[in-house]
Amino acid sequence: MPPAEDLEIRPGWRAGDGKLEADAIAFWKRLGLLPAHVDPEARAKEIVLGAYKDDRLVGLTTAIVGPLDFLRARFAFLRSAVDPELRRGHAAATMAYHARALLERWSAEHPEEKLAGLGAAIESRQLAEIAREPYWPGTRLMLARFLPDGRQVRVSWFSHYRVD
Amino acid sequence: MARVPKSKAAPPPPPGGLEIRPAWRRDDAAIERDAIEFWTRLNLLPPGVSGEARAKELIAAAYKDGRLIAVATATIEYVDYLRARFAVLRGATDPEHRRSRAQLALAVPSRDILHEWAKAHPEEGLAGGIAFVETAEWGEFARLPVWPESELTLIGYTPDGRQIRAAWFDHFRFG
Repeated sequence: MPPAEDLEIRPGWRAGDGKLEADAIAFWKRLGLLPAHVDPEARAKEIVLGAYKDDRLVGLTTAIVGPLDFLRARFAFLRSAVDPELRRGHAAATMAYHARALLERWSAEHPEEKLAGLGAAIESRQLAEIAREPYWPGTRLMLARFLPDGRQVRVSWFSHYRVD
Repeated sequence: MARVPKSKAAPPPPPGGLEIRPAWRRDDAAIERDAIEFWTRLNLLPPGVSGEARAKELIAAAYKDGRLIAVATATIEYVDYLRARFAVLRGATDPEHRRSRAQLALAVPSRDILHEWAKAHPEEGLAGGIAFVETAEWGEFARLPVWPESELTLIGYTPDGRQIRAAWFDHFRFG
């Protein structure tokens, strides 16, 4: 899938970018995306990138970092939201591509963080057709195992990472 | 598999004057005979496993100067945590040739042989290859999460500490 060339990608991971964070909070409020118990200020600290179109924030990718015990390593788990007006385009794929590249570069520059790659827990039913493919070339997410509840755990190791 | 984009270019020739001979489901009597002699000479077969039966599991053999020095074998088994049937890969190398990189030389041809066979036999539902790796035997190489030659990717550990590595075939789809 080709990238959405009309989007401007603004990196935000651990950047303390006040404008991006403010835009993100407005984006979440405008679209009613955050559950009531989630603090927007805290979620804004998880921003990986924002996607802008005509100077307007239209997509956000955030990440939390946590361990996958069965792999004995730490992975970044992505969440993405795209303005409904753009959902038929390639915004989500473009954001995923850039998010992976940004986090891989950050991980290489911060080896003390021991960030091994990207992880995702996928509801197969939500992604019926694409979940049939065990490997997704765009994000390089590979099916690593099924959970007992049927979700797929997918991982994409960063190429610089070495197992302890 | 967290892997680099695949190249469709032909693989490089095997290193060190090795010749790779395919054997998967070919009933090649000469390779089977050589493999049985290899396993017997090196005392590699566990008790109760016959050379004749193991020979039917041969994927490929590596020869140097006309002598078999390494083999790759597989059995097809259902892997419950992947919900698919995989070729469980094994390898053995003559200790005199441990530095020959024979197992690396076998990796790509073995993957390709099984992949082509899986595509030709969709009724078998073969999804890929899986290996259980003793990290001490592979040294620094075992620290790579994705092995570039075979695309075998670290997906877990066994209770006794071996790495579980798997590679999915491109054509495979669930359902």
